[in-house]
Amino acid sequence: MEFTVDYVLSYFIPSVELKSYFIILFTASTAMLAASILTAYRYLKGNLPLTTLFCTLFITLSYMATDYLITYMFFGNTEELTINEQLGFYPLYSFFDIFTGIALLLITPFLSSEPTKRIPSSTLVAVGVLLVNAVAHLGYLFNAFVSPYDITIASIMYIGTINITDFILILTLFFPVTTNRVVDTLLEKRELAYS
Amino acid sequence: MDFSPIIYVKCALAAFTWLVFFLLVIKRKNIERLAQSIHIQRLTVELLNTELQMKLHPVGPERMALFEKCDAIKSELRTSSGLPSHCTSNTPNENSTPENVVSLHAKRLNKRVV
Repeated sequence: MEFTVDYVLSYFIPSVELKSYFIILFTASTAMLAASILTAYRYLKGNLPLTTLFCTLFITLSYMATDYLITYMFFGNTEELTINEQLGFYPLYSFFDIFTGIALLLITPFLSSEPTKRIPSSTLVAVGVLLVNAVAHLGYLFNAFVSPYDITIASIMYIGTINITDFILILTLFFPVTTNRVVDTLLEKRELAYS
Repeated sequence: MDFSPIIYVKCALAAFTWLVFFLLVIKRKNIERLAQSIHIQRLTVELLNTELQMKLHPVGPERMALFEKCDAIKSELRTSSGLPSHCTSNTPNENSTPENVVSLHAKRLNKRVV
């Protein structure tokens, strides 16, 4: 029973002993890398615009940089990290997400070949995911300030949020055209309902 | 537990940057409009330069090619600025003259009668 509880918790609590956290982390990064290669191939075939390729590549690079930081945090140092050093990484994760989102918002309209220079809906979904991820990192950090000795529930909420948003992000990166269509349809329906 | 003040500063900076990010997400239409206006400005300059080059050339295939380029730029400019590609704003609209309105001349005549 204890093994089962530990195994389930290992999906939600970042630690060196419980490797499931890292399995999820690197699975997400590998999926993003695969999505980047697929998007590049589709862009070269002429099926996707440059904005989608830029969005996919930029997000993948950002996530791989964040994963490098996390790996460095847990495995890079031979000495055990203090709580201050561990918590010092969370604002960095937040900064990575925020700057990625800002770059996407500021560069995508200028790269767009459409005459209206509209940001694609798939990019907006990715930016929304980054917005939620950034505030989740900060929320986890804030919880550590408030109650540093009880982080289990906060960890479950934090990693759960990150996993769900990352799953949405991976789906968006793999299927940008479908995401555009679904989001546009939903927004149109909402506008019609209010009109 | 005592935390380092650097973490508090980092956290505050991250929160401030997140607010800026959130503001940019809300104001994303302004970024789109800025990109659109820069695109329109670039097209307008290109159109003026092309028209100038066209007027310097004598009538011939080169002038014709420049004229077609001008047309293409104008079409793109109309699409970018939200106008339809075949704008008919200068042509008189047949439906704009209502039939059941008394003309001014008839109204004056009526006044005289009254």
